[in-house]
Amino acid sequence: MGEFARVFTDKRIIMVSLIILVLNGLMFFNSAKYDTSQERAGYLVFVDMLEIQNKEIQYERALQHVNDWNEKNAEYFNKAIANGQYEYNYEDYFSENEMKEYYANAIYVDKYQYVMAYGEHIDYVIQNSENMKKSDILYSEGSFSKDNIDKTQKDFEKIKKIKVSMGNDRWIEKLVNYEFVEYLVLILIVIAVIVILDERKKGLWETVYATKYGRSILALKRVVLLLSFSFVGVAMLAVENIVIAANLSDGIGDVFRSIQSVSLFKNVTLEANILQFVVLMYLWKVVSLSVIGMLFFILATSIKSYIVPIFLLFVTLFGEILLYKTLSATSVFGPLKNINIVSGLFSQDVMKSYGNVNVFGKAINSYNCMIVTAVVLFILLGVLLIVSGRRKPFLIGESIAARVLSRISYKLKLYRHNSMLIHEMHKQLWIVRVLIVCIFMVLVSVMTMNLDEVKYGYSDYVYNQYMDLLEGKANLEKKMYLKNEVAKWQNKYDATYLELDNLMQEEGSIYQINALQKKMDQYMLSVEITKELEGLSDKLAKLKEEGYNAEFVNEIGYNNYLGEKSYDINQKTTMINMLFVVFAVSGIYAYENSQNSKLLTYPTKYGRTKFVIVKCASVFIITLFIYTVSSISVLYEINYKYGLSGIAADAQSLYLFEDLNFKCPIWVVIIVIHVMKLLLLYGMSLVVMFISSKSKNVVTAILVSSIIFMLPALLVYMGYEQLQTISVLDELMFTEKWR
Amino acid sequence: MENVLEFKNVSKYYGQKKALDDFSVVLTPGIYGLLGANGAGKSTLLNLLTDSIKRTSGEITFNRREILKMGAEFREKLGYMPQKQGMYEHYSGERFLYYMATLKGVNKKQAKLQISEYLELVGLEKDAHRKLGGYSGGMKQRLMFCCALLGNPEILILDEPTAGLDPEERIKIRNYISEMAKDKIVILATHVVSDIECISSEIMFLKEGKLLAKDTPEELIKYVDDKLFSIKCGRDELKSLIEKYPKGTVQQRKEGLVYTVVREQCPEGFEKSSNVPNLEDVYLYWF
Repeated sequence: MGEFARVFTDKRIIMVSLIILVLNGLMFFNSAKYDTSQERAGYLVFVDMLEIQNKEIQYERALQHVNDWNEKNAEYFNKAIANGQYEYNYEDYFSENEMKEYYANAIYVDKYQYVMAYGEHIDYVIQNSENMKKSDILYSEGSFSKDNIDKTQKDFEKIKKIKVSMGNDRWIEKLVNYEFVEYLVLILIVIAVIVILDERKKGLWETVYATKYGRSILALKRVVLLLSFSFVGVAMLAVENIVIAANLSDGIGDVFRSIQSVSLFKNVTLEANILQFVVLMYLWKVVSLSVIGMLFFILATSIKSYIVPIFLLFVTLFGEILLYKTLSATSVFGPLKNINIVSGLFSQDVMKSYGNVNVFGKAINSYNCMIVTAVVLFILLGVLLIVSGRRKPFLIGESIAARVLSRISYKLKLYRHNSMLIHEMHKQLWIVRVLIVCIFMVLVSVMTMNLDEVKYGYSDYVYNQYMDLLEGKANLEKKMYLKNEVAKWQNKYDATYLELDNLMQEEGSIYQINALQKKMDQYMLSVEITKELEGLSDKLAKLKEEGYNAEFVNEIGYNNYLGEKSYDINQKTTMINMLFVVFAVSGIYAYENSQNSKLLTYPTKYGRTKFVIVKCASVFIITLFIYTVSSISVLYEINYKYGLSGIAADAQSLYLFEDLNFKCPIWVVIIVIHVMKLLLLYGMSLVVMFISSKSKNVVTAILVSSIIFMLPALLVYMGYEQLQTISVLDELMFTEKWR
Repeated sequence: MENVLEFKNVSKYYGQKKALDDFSVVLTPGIYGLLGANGAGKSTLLNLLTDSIKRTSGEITFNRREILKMGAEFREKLGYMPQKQGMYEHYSGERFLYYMATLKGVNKKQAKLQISEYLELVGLEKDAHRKLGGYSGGMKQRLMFCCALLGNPEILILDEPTAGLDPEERIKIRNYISEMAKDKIVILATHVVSDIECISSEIMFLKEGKLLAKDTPEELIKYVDDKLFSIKCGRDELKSLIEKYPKGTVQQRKEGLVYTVVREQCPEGFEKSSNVPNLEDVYLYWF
């Protein structure tokens, strides 16, 4: 029990767990939230609709409702185009209630159709297997392909009689599609092993080794401890995510339905209900995490320092994750994907789809492959850990690397300076371990970047095409070109209109009519876009006359970077910045406080005002780093997805900045915005620093700062907007207020 | 001109409790031992001098200038070795000294010279690269002493500098203090009477925040010259004697146990002691 209590009550574990909980909550909420409030309201109505007993009648009603809505939508759309509107947003034409009803009915229709068609889907898979059997190439004797076809057919026949039913599925879909827990629990297990091995650092290894139960029995206890810790770590995040998901989805509904009831799992051949599926999914994560913990434990007790084992573990995991993510299960190297130390950690990937692994030509279900790998590795490493518990303690002391570093530092005398700032930065980064927080910040920034390809709508697509051609100064030639383009699209529209008219008179097929209508819509949009750009050309020419460096600049990237579309990314980044500021700055005075060094430093010449100034300066550097890392990641993401061209043009070139009443390039405006945001964040850092100076230890400082800053911000982030007055989130986002 | 540090009617109250009461003294270069029981006001006095706490009333001047007004200028002249070993365990000895030199405003060249000189003086030059976490208590005390010396301060405040040291290390530190004390005002607060007896030019006795006596060790010892009385006793009698006359010392002699007390009047059954009085007897007399 003592060993358990020591690990579970360790301050580092508590602190890291807190960071991870906040970070995970933030990330998961961000991935699980609805795009609009109507969408959320609609889903909640859908959940209520599930209570209705006669599903068939309800489906008919819902289908009718959706069809009516679509007709109305088409009508509004045509009117908008006829009125010369460039952008059509259906949410502007329907009331909140109409939108809510539409979403609810559309989801109902979708779910009902899935449930009705599930049997057909299974039949289709089985039939497909039958068809494949007819191919000599695919179904050649002794081949993996033959085995795969037979196994697939057999597995799907097994679940043919499974009953599926409609229900509240959103929470589990969000839970399974979220992939961040896996990385966070890895950090937890590494910290746990370091805490377990504290006895080495404190010179207790020999003492423990000399006791009756200090060898294999203790090692056995540690296997149990690692398993328990993995369980607690995974459970902690799982519960957090389930609570958030359930909160967003109005509960978790009937969890005793078959897992195949959820459309995401239509190809799952496991005979389990939703509850069993979730439990199994997390169970394999726990086993896999404890295997990784045991591997690190064995490495750390075999090598003197932590740096080398951490490096080895990192390399192993990086390689394994790379193999897992890039290999195809059916390829020759397929076994390396599932017979992999991390496959259990990503259990949802294996479990949500169907697949067979090519193991020496035999088709083995990837889920079974994952289970066998996890269990075998658990037993193997568990035995190895227990056996290694008998190993004699090696000389305790600094590792070779640490000694070399210490020697180099002594020889080079890098600390022989009288710069208080450099001394302070060394203390904070190296001794107080803010460097780790900074590295973590870089990792989080990289991991939270969304580099998925943007799927542009037709209007944005056309706009982008034109901007690629037009970018640069506005001139007569471009104006003429645009004028011609307007005429060209107008002519096409008119011609299609006539064609459609003829077709309707000739009573053409509905498909032909629909195709022509779609064409007309697109032509009309093109007319509007080219007209808009023609207008822009005039505006730019006028600005040029007024002495502005006005150019055609693609607005989409800037809108996503600083405009209204940037709200989500800005909010997420600001939350991350706040979180890391709390963790990096809370310890700024804690080290001095914990070492009682104030007694010694306070009576010195520079131990007061200058000391505080230097602290403020180091806090600024740390804040600057955090802000820069997050800003660069956002800039990279936006530039990668949308592009930010024409940055040297004057800001008035963009509609976003057209009200700016002084002349300056876009990049200057961006810098000014960033400087303001940085200063606001720095203001928060100084408050955290003040809290730190009044706290006896870092945990207290983190808790107080979190209560003051993070808690209200989190609640606002989660939708409790009435708390905005006590939260600094909006102020730190700056652009929301500034716009 | 000789440096003068003056305390004029300095008082410090914590609520109703008088930690230091109307303390007045003039100090010129020399070693001043500060003796007193726990809670006598020694630490309060030192904290007032380092301006770590606010005084309730009175003045502290250095060369006739109020130290609070001098601020950093005064702290530049100050070398302080606190009782608690507040050091950064992850720093090497030398790095810590460079850090302290920076805080004290010692320039790089001077810092280099002084650090190497003081490390050699306290015998830590070979351990300078080691982390402070691996230092013994004695090594840390010696390093703290180096810290206090950095910047060649004119006032040296040493709070229990020999606490936790073995006899050899204690003697070493005592010798360093004597060596370094030239032209400095050294205030040495301690419970260890023998430390002060050897090196102090004057001793101040503090009791319940008040200054009881300030004189040279010789004069203070003279005061108890005729106040030592002893009695031979068995082990059984000793307990009752200690209960009756608690301020005394027991000595094991060939002829048996001898219990010596310091008192104005000779107690019944006691006779004038043949012992040569020392500072410990003075301490017992005052407390």
